Amino acid sequence: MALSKRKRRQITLSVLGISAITWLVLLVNPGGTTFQHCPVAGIPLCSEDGGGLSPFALDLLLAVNPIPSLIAGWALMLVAMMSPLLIGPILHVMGQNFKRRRWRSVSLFLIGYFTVWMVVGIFSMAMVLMLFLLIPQYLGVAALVAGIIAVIWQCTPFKQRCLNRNHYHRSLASFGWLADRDALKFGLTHGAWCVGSCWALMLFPMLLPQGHILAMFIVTYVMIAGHLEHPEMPRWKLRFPKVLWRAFLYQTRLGMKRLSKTN
Amino acid sequence: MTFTRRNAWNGGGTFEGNSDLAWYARGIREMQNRQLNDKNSWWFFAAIHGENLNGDLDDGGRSKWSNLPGIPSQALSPVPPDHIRNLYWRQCQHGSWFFPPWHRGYLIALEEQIREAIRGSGHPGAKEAAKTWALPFWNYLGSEKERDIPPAFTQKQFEGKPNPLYVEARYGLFDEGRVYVPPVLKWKDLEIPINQKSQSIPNYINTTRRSNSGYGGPETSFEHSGSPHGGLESNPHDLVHVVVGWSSDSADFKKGSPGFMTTPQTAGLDPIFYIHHCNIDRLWALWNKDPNHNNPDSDSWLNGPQVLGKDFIMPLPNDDDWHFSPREVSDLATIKEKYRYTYEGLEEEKLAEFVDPNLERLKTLGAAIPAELATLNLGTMETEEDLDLIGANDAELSLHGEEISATVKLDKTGKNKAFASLENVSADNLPDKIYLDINNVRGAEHALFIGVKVFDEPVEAFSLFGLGMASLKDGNHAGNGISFTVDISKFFDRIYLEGNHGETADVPVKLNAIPELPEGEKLTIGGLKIYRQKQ
Repeated sequence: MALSKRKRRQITLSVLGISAITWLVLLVNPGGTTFQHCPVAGIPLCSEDGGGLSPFALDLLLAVNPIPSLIAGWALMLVAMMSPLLIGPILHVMGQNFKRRRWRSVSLFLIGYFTVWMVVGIFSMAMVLMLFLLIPQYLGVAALVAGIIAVIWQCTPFKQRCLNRNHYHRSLASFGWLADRDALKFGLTHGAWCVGSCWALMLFPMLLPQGHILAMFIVTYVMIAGHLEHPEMPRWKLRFPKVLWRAFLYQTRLGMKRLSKTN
Repeated sequence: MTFTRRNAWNGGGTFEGNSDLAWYARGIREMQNRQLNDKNSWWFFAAIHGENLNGDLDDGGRSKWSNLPGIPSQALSPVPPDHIRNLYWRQCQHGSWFFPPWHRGYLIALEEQIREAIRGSGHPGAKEAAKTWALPFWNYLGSEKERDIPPAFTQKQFEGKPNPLYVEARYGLFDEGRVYVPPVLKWKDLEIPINQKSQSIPNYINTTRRSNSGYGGPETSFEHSGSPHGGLESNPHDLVHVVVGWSSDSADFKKGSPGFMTTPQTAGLDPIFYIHHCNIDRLWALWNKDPNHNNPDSDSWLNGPQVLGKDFIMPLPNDDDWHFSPREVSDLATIKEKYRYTYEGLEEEKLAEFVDPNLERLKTLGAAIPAELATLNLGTMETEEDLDLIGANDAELSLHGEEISATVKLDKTGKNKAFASLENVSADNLPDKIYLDINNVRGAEHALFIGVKVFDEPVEAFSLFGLGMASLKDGNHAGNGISFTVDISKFFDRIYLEGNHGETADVPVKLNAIPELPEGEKLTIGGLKIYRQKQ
């Protein structure tokens, strides 16, 4: 690790700060992070029979869920939830580059990473909109199914493999266009493994009629805690990441100990 | 009472002359009779350090326990349930500032197990012996005679049965039938000194996590990428592991298997492992004797990896578990009384002399050194400065056979800053340190060392102890392999003094596999980087 402790701390706090601010924005105005279900009673979209794939139903749905709003909401969700996971890779990119081009490489890494997730987001949003049109009366069931899929995926060896690959930080080129290429490629591959690991978790909150922000908190915990666990052999396993909870308990105990000493 | 760990070479290092070795063998015999899933068994204890029962390492099954010579059936099954394995096994701390304290706790736990096994052995005098027995240490850096493994470890029979201290898979240097630690390992034009120079490193923690720059190791917390080793771990620890274990049939590694001591996943199977680590622990205790040497005092170290919700755990006799942290074992004098020990001769041992490498550089670069600064520490303490990248080789390298050459291109701006720091040097204006990073070395453990040459001059060599596990994509290190750092400041000093710094545009590097790799095998190197560090 080429960066000093002081620099690593600065970067870590900055990234966590960006995440915290984004969370605050989302808490105050969730906006496009939540799909609107039934804006007006009696409209076929929301009837027992469902609205179907009629242009009217689609227009109404898009009127209450404007695409730019959805995309902005998804982007904010990504920044809030994923930023803490990117501290390690950002430090790695910085350490592998000349000082004068560190932020250029970090930017390319972030472009690669978020591009992958934005593409996934667009597909996810399209799928959710389809569900809203086709089975509006069964959206709760759809959310439940998504939750079950997320839990099952959590236990698969495929998820573990994706988690393991995210810990792999290869050496990056430092000169010229090769450095640009490697930074972008690192972002794209890191994003891809991250999607492989967390796609099901990210889908679940989108389908919830209520409690979306709470679900995002829980999903964020599961993702960060999973990332903090050591890589291990991929296999079927009941995988509930406990590290972050244990770390929280430890820090709380430590804090209380210090408090009692000063008092 | 305080136990005393004594020299394994006392009494000529034989069973007849050294009762510590005889009782050690009897205790091991008891532990080896127990099954794998018994927390008090020899095999369970070996797996605490590392294991390869499933053959999940990508080394063609060479280190899989069932393929190793002399492994009995009780060592392979029954395999404990998942939650037990996750809690106790593969705990060993390497490339971390926890390396010394974790191994200290590991030895204490094994000592307790051996004492209990001695008590239960029924041998005449066992109960009395168990009251005072302590692990002996192998001081391979002591006298000439002590470089050889004590004879008790080489005889095949003890008290009419196979000797528990003997293992077939302990091949020794170049598999020539002698197990010893040479002062210098020579391979063609490369020389690897095995010594205790690390004892003079004044700071515990590596500076910005460069290898060898700290005594105890780099600060580690959430990172899983496999960090460089500290000074004590690099030399003599890693080197002794490999020269003692080596590999059978050196001419053809495809047929050969590693010695137990050669890999972390098999090292705990060899009784000499604990005697070796006893010496490493003794060296740490000796380092602490120096009032200028201090273990870290931060909670992050003292409390161990509890920040991850984990702590170190060792099984003790009578179904007891010992959860411990570095705080409890950092000072021999404050270890829990029932486990407390000291080392024979520790009080009389001389402290290592510290020679600040900066002093030598200042003299080379023509700076005047006032007499009062002659013994001062001029800046090897942990620094807050970033490392500034000044050169890179951007290609991934593949080392087949014996050697590979590469060129590290220097960035003009960085290079000029580095050379500018060599002007008007003084105690108040120290020259930059220049480091060569060899990143992400991956491969199977067919090569045992990697040698580094800069400008065709041998600089340093590193043990590849742990390479297999670190290269495993789904292993603890996520396939990041092992990275090394070499201090190449002297080459920049030389270029500067010869007046060639203007036209020097790159640094030629050669990497050697020691011994050379068999056909079809390779080491990959992720990249080479050169950094400058302002002091």
